[in-house]
Amino acid sequence: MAVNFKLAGSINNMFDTLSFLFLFISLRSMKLIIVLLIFSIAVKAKGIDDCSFDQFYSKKIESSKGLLIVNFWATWCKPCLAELPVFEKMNAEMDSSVKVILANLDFNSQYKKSVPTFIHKSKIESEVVHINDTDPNSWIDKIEKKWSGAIPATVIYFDAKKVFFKEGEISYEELKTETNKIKNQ
Amino acid sequence: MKKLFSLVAIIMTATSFIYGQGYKVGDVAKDFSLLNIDGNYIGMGSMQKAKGYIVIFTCNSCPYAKAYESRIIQLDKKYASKGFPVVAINSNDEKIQPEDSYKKMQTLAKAKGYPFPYLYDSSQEIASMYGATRTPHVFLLNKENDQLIVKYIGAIDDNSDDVSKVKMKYVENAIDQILTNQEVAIKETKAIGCGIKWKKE
Repeated sequence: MAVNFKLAGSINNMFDTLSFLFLFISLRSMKLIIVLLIFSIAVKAKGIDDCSFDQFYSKKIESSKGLLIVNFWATWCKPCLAELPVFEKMNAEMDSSVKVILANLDFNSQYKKSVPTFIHKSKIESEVVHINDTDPNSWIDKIEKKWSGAIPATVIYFDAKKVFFKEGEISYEELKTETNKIKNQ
Repeated sequence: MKKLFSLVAIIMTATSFIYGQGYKVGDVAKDFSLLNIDGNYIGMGSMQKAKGYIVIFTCNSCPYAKAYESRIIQLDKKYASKGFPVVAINSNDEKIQPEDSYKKMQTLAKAKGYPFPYLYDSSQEIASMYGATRTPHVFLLNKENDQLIVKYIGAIDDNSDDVSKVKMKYVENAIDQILTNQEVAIKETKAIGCGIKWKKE
């Protein structure tokens, strides 16, 4: 009996140690899970959608209402990065009838690292979408026939209809003038 | 009314200035004389034996140009002996992109063993005459009755990111078609690339 009791006690002890261990591990992993959760929410909130051009076109452009500004850019493109604050400013100050989408064209093999790092570092607030089509020849003309494919390039849509296109850098004043023109029409 | 007419005229010339420049397929291309990395001024006339030329506007700094660098070398290795050598041209303004200076062109070409001339278009005249907008941007020229006819304009192939996934070798196909007296099937393609760094006025 006594032996049994002792055994039961040691089993109890063992359970205690085990549960303590479990608790310890789960606390630690809980922390990890929470960190991961926050991180994934943060990433999700920044909205790095990864899609083909057709998905991008139908989801983001064809179904858009009101003013939509789309800027084609990449983290390797210096003039693109130089003008991103222009779009960030537009995004921040415009009311909800104006939307800014930063269409990212980083290499597919690199964007998963390069884009979130850049967004985090530069605190980008506008919506970012990565286009993963590898043959731009198949879609560049669908955006604009005059576009050679050089970036940066900017398009403005109103109710999903293209109203403005520019290849090359754009200034805040120019973008503002264009959007005001469209708004006042 | 007069004012309106002059306004329309100004807009028309402005738009034709922006969009009307540059060669189209079928145009006669002009030769040039540009500073090569070896210190000599050369043009396509310096390579008389060639049947045509793969003129590529490229540079040192652009990630797309870098991604295509070894493919450009391979193009020259494969086609120079068949009469189509590569002529690479850098037209970027070194004030905007110091990585694309003449000195850096020399260093890069030496390090990578460029088998083709790498020319410096410091005035940017040739890039604007040809209508090059990005790097890399290919203009495939074929000699016909002593004239250089533009046969293809565009990208090297259809996958800048991954050589192993290339399905269409646009430039190679076009040269193969010219060499076998066929019509070039795909005459023009577009690609994402770095814009040429034009001088700021």
